[in-house]
Amino acid sequence: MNSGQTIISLATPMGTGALSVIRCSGESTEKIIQTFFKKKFIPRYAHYAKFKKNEIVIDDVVAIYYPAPNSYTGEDMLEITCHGGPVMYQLLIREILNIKNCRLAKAGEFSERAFLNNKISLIEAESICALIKAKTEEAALAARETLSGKFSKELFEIDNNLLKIRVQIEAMLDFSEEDIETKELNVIEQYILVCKNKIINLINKIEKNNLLHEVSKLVIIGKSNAGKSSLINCLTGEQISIVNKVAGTTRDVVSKMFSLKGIPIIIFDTAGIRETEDLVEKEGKERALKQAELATLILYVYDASIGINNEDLEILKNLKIINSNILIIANKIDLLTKDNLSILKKEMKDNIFISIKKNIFIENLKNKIIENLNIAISNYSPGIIQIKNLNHLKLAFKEIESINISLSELELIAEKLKITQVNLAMILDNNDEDRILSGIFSNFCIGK
Amino acid sequence: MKTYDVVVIGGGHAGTEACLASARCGSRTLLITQYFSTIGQMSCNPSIGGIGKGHLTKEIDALGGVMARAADAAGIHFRVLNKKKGPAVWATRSQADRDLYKSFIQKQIKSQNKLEVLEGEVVDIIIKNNKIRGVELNDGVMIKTKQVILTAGTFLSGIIHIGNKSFSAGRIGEKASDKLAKSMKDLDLLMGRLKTGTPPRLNGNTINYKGLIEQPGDDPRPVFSFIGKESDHPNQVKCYIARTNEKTHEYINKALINSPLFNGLITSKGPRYCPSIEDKVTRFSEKNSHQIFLEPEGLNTKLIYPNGISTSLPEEDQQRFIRTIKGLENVEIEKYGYAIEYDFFDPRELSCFLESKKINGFFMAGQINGTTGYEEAASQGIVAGINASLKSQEKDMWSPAREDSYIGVMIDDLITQGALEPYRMFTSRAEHRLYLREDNADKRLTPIGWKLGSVSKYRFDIFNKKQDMIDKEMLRLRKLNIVDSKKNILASDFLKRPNTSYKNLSNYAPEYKLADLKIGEDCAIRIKYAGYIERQKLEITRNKKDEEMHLPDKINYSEMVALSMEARENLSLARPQNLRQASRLPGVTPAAISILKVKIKAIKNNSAQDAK
Repeated sequence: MNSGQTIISLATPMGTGALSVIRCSGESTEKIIQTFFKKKFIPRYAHYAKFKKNEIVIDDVVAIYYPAPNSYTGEDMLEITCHGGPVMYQLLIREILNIKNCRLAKAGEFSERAFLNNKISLIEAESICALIKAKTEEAALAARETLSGKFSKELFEIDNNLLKIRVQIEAMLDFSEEDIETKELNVIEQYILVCKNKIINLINKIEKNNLLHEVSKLVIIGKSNAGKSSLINCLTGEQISIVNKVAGTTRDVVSKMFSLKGIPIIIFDTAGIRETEDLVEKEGKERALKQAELATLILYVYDASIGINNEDLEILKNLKIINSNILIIANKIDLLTKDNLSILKKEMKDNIFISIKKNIFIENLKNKIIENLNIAISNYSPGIIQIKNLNHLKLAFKEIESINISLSELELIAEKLKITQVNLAMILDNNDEDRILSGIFSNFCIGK
Repeated sequence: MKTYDVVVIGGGHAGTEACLASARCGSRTLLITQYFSTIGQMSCNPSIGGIGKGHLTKEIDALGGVMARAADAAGIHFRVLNKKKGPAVWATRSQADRDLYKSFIQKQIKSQNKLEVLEGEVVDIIIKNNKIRGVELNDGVMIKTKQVILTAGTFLSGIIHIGNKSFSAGRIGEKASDKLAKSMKDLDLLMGRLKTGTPPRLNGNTINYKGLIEQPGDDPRPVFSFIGKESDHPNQVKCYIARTNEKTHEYINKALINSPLFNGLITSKGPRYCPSIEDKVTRFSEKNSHQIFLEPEGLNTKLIYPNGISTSLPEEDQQRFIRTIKGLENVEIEKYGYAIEYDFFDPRELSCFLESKKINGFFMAGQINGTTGYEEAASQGIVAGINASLKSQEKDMWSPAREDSYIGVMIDDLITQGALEPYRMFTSRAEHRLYLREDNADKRLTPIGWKLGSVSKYRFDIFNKKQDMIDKEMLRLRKLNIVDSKKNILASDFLKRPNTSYKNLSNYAPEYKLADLKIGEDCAIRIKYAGYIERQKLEITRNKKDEEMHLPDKINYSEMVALSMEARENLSLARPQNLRQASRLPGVTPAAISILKVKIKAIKNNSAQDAK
């Protein structure tokens, strides 16, 4: 028995292991198979297959199709085992969510469906309730974590603005006979415009800053020959990196995405800051600073055999003004004598001493990077929550964008603003329509 | 002992619609009221309709009710409110001549088949094994029935306040039903207390209208009933607008100490949207003037209803502040304003049929369910009347849905959320506002009313004829090509644009023979909203699934530890009938809904096993 919408979720925890498993359950399962694998799957048979978007292979996966009713949930199901790490599974899940009637699963929803389809015995019902509760709390916690800081502040601001506009408009609709001073329509138009811009800005910010993937940004800075390129190669290893282009600087900067111990990271290739250019020179410096500003963490590399000189200190000083998250790395310690190294270590206590060439203390570096990225590992990937949030923001924008300001269509404006706000409410979890009437009564003297 | 299928207690707006509907649906019905002469009395504002309320009135009419026709027969001033906005929020409002209104209603009651009226006071409702058996009158007479509809309005333990005086009454000059209230208290039903108020009535001959703003009725004049016409209306009059000033507010502020609303005498909750003038002056002190609509109470009376200054100040203070108002300097007060506190029953103990969940055959409608307003009362009355009749005939009862009607929105709100303040209809309460319009109330409800037996053949024939005409015109509009800015466009697309109207079509297609303008405009409205309504329909189908999942009576919410405390408390109190109602309760999150689904299934499986 298939029920309406097809639910998608990650079945394995984030940030562990080399493989991730994505589960889909519901009517659109076959559609998913057709769309991304372009062939029919034999039931309950492990297929080695290429997950393709259009003609581009996104990942080599192992997929198993369980037609209803012989599956865990009793619905059509698909399990995709892809390469590990959030980058990959987020990409795949995002693609799958583009299929009609597909959505992310709510906490405990697979078990819920299994139970509703008589796949799990009655005795387990209570434990499923407990499971749903536990998972919901966990998910809420993760959501709050992702919502922390600027993103949620902006979202609440938009929500509040929308509420204010809706209070005005609903008052105009329900209490036009009252002697109340609602705002002029052109003022309301301005308010709506501000809201609209805020929503699109937020969407852009999330997309551009790659907040979407909750990807940490590493920017590697250092003088020529400090070992920047080899550091990138050493960190990204043999991984096939996904290359994307970020516009914004004078020249397109190429960035590489990879996962470090399961943590998605985007690293800015120093190809953007050409070796031949002098960093102290204006143009090169500006470009480096621009990237550094956006970085989650800056890795500053210098050649330990030369040591830190005034030029390094000058660059570091400028960097610290715009971004204080800097990890200073002394490379090429293999070129130092034991004594010199211990002198340097005493002088530069907070530095990390490595040799890329001789693979010394690289593991330590990786751990330090992760420690500094300070990412909480949770079963509920913030990245997935962000996909959901972005979807709702886009729907919200679509609505508010379609508003046509005219008194003769005030009720349509009201309808569109309501849908806009409902979409925000899905992110903020505060769908309280009672706020409108309360807002009207506290703002206006009603009572003809 | 006399026996009836349905007994209705109370002859206000809820009671009259209830007894008429019950009799129309074929049940032998008895209306018991203290005085026949007060049947259909408008105890507060002599007006019908308004935003949200006009919608309700048209819905009652579409179901065969009497309110809209009475408003047409008694209306002395008609307007369509919100006319500058879209048709979904257009709302008819009329000023009524009290006497004409009352006599129209009384005539309907007298001529209705299967309906009898008894003057008397009910002192007890007889219940055995949680089933209605009959009612007892104050003279000891017993009447046998299995269905009772209680529409006692403000009469249950009503207390009127004017200044520091307070006394027991149902309305001014009528005694409260204290004995019935007392016996109702033994029934173990959740009760609460609410308050409402009314302004003083003025002698129109002592008002100086010069310098007041005139407010004429609309031309063309709207008609309330789907089977009514303009010629049903009596002579028309004008309303006027006066304003309070700083001096008025000064007097009111000084007198506050004597207001029972402010000196602690009245503690029960009044409506936020219908505050007393005392409230307005204190809560919005920055406003130095409030408007007052001076509305005539009828053609043959000098009485004027000053809408906007409900008050419970002492008589002398009422007189003092009113005389500071321009135009009212020499006004004589005929009846003083007052506040009234009354008992109401927590509507969360009602089913969606307006029947008590605890007492079989006991229906309640109107103000005793925590609502305010004639239209709100009448629409509950018609639903209770239809259902009591259906029940007496052992037929399935009817519950209006949120997506079908404002009546459905109201009943669903009441039985799930309860009444924290007197409940009044607003269009913003309806999530399907674009569909729940005045113009299509007949399309939404008349076929249902016909099936239930509450709509006459006469009305149904008129309805079908109109729908045929609309359907035909819709077809024509979908085929009609017009030229706008040198581009060909279908008329049905053209009409979707803002600020277009059916009438304008002839400017673009001169050879097109317009249909009846009313029919044409109805078509234009349908076309305008079609896309939005399509989208809302999708939402409705999505909701249907949850609606079909019934929450069994057995569920003990307080034991469900997986739910939050808030959800458990609200579910226990409201005991929603299905998942969709549950989802509207505070604290019932999507996760809680999942848990409820699992629980429903578990209970089902359990009983299936028991059956084996």
